[in-house]
Amino acid sequence: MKLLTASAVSLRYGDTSILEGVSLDVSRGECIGLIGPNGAGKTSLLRLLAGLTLPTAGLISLTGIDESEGETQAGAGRVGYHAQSPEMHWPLPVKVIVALGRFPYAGSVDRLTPYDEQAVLNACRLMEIEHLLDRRSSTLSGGELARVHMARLLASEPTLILADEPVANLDPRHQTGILSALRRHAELSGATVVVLHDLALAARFCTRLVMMKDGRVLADGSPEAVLSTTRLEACFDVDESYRRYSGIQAVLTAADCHPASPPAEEDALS
Amino acid sequence: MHTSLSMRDRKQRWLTVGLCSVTVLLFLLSLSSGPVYLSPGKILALVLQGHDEPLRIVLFEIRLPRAMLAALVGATLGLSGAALQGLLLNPLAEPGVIGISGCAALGAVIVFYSGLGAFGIWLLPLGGMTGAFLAVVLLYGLAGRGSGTQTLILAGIAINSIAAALTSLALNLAESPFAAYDIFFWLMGSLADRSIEHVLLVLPFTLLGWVLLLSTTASLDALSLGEDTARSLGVSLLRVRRRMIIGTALAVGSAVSVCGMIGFVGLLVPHILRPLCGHRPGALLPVSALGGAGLMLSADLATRIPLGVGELKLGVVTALVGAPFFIHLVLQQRNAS
Repeated sequence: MKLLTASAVSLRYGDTSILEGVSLDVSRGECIGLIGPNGAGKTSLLRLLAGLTLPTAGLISLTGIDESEGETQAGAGRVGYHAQSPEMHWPLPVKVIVALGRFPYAGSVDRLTPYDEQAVLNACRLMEIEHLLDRRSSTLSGGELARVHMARLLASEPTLILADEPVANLDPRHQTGILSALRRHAELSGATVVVLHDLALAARFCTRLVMMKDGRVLADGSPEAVLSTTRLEACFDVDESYRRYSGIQAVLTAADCHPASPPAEEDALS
Repeated sequence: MHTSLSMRDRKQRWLTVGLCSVTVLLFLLSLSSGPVYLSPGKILALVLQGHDEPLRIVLFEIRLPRAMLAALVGATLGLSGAALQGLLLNPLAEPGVIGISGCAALGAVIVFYSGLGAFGIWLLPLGGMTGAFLAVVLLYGLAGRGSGTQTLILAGIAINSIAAALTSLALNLAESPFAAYDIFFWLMGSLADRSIEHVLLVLPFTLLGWVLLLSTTASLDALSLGEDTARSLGVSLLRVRRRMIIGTALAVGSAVSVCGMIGFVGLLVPHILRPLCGHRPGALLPVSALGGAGLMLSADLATRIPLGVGELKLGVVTALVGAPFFIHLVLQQRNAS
């Protein structure tokens, strides 16, 4: 069952074209990885899907997701959005941050029902942050904060999760923890679209990969099909001298040998 | 296993109760202090039976309006400071610092000088509210939201300078030097010689402004996660901004047009109370209103300390307390960076 369809979506700011005729559909059960070099338009596409920006041309429809009524964002709560490097303007206690995930239903963190509280606690348990509930966000490590933001997202019990680089700056154990939670979400409760820079993690956790470059979709399909040597070379500008390596290895080796060239894949090296 | 998830800890409930009691006490103290001391028993007697006419006049026509205005205006300044800080995601946003009070004063001065005031006393707050409204819109256009402290302060300096220049121009053009003198003292902020008419004049606008500002509390909490995340959670930014702009204009505009410019209350109060509310911008709003009322009542009491040189101006007292605090904030930021 399709949850979201984007057809021939374009985005332009003045003369600059950010996205050109991108089409994408997301079905229940899918964990889709958006990959590609920096500036490919992954974040812009995700913001369009989340309804935070309107496309210059094309159409995005949330099918199979009940749209909430009133003046609020269409699909609030049903579509969960994790921003690239989430902002934190005041040093709130962890429990308040996670409880804000229930905002679409409760309307305020002061009016949580027992069900809301249970959803908050479940999300905290899943992200292993139960011991941090009363800590202030300014006292957390980067990894702890990333898990808190992911718990906030999961507490919303969304149908569709849109996550922009949720595992950047995390150690391998927590990268795996968050990505398996996103994968499990897709299998059990809906679908996930996640922007990833680590190609190995993308291959391991996603059921489908969408490869982007210069605002267009270069390839869309199973990880094995998308991460072929020729496609990777085209996407990440790997030149011929790395032909003896194959697939992801070629991208990594090329990045290794040209540290000053496009600051594309530093995440993949870690 | 059941973990308690109460978002307001017990500390905050005590904070509200404590601030309420202190404000009520200061209100009563404000009724009894002055050239003639009125004991609580005397006040009660005057309320119940009106034999002692001169003292009744002191209580009901001089001290009561003054205490009520102090509480109203203080609450407005504390509340709007906390609200603007939550919306602009910046702890330095305050009606005085960012030029809203200055523009409100300009609006009131223009009404006063253009002779429009002759058509009705209520045109004065209307002028103040128009000035405040234009200032918030201008500030939002210049500094946007979540823009750095530097941009916000620069925008505030620009707006304050325009307002100050135009107000000086109005004083320059004043026909009688006495009128200019009056305006000059009024600009310094004072609660002296205000009547119950002044209270009734600002009360409806103030209450409406408060309701609008307080209706944004839940959304302000969500805004701590940034505008994108807040919107994805269903916050309508347009609605929050509209309520904030109109609410600030109504409350601050009417307050300034009756009491002049009183600075620093909206900066000082939220900053002190924020850690006691778990840093939640929404929860900060009601307690900042209480704290603002308390601070203003205390400052007004301080103006009555007899120094033998006439009464101190309220704006002078809050600035004397507030400016060192502002310097403390600067030092804190410098050490943090």
